[in-house]
Amino acid sequence: MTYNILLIDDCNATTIANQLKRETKFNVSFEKPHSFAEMPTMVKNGNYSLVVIDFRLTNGNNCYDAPALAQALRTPGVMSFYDVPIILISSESKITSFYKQMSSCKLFDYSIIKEKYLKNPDYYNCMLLDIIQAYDFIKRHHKLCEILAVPKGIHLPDIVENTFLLPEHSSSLHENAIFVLYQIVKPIGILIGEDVLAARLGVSKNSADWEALKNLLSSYQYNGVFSTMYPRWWAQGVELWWDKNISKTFLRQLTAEERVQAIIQKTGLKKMHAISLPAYAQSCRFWTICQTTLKALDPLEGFELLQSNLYPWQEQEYISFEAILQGSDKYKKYATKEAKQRFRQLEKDAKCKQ
Amino acid sequence: MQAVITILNTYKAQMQGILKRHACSVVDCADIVQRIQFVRKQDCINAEITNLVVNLKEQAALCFNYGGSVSLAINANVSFVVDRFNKLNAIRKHEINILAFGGSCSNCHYCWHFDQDDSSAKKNLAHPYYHMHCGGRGIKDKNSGEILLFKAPRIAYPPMDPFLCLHFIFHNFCERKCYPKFETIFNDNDYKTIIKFSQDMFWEPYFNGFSAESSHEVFNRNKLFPMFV
Repeated sequence: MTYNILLIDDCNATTIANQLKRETKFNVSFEKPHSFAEMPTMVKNGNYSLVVIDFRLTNGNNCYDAPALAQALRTPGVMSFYDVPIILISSESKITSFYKQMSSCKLFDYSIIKEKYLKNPDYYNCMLLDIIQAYDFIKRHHKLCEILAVPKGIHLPDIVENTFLLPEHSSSLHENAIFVLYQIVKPIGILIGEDVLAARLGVSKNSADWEALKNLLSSYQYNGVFSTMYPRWWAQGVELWWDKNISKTFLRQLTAEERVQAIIQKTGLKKMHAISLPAYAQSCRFWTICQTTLKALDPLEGFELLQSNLYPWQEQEYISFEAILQGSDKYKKYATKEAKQRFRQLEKDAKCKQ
Repeated sequence: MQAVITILNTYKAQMQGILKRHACSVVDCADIVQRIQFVRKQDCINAEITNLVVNLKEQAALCFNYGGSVSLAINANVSFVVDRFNKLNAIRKHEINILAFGGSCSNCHYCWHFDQDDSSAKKNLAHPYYHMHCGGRGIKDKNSGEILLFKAPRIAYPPMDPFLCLHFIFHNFCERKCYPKFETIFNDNDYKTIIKFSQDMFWEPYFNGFSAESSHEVFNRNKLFPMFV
């Protein structure tokens, strides 16, 4: 199956268009921006599965940029409403990072820096394909448990489904899709990524048997929409698997070494070693990861980051002592007042001990 | 019964909102949603907490021999029946374990066990029907060093649901000097409403049982406090 992709750029975008064409499932068309009155209808009539828009469209006589065009396509109830993924591409990293943070502004499904795209087009093409297929799947399946392919034995908290059904998340495919991607798949919560999985099992990803161990957990690997780009596991599933196959002792009470020994004993997978204690850490009862170093972290030793609009199923994010000492920008911008106080106290204590 | 489950689930969401509103960092709010469950099982309401971890990060000198940070894992399995007025009829099962672990004190543990038990006749030791036990099975296999792990005494303590469990933890382990936010949380009217609901359900009949007039099958002086003469 092929998908029609529209690329809109005010300059000659041959390079980007050619890289998009590397994906054989993409049938790429290129358009320069027309007048604002005609453009949305032209896009809508093209029967495209995905639209890629360069941020600046003002070269020539146009007086609008990508957000204005996206807004015209995104507004329900108007003639030009067109419910397909819209991707922002720009060579200005400030612009893309602004829209990355503003996923809640609901214009673009994703923002990509042009240079990054050109360095790794296959990765991004795969991501675009994943987005198209997610829209396609959501169009045909309305129940969240089908969209997420919730495996047997996993209980999806009611609040997730209730929130998904709120009008602000369910009035278009785009709203459905960005809710699933940005509020369920990406954050640590009901789903966890590979780094958090390794932290919870205490096993280093460099272990020779890591892949084999992941295979044992395959029934709790996430297979819903966006799973091609975002390998995830059901957090609850990992605990169920542990409880059923490894030990009745709750994972978090055990040190990484104890978890690894228990896994080796029960699975016979011997080529595994525990995640070593990161610098400045004292506890290896890992449960999450530091948002800067991505190293395993016991929340007890983490410093809380403020997250706006955290949904009830999304876990608190932390930063480690090590990352703060390295001058983490996230700490300066997002650490809570209490976390900063605690850090200063611990830093003072550490200096006194020296 | 369904009405009570609905109220409990609403309060669960509200409790999460309250802790979030006051930026309470000792519990991950996602855990309130995912690790506390109220479900109907035949004629009972099952109130469960599965491995909910409380992070006590502040150096609050909670122990005589250790002053660092520590985690508490709560597990609770409480099953109860309500009457047609939605008042407590009977508690069929009541088992709560709070296990302390972690922090820089990496191999140290402690446990508090809350139980519903009536085996006084077998052991001739005071066995209040609802009791708390310091130590407990949760740490019986741990290296206890120079400390003896006693099975006794079992101290009379009222039954708790998940909200009263959290209330117990907040009041007993979150020293206000280190966690000043709890002053505001305890005064939050929404918080008080939740605790009041659970208190009316579980503590009111328990404390009424200490009155001389109580003829309740379980909630009576002899069962609740067997040393009473």
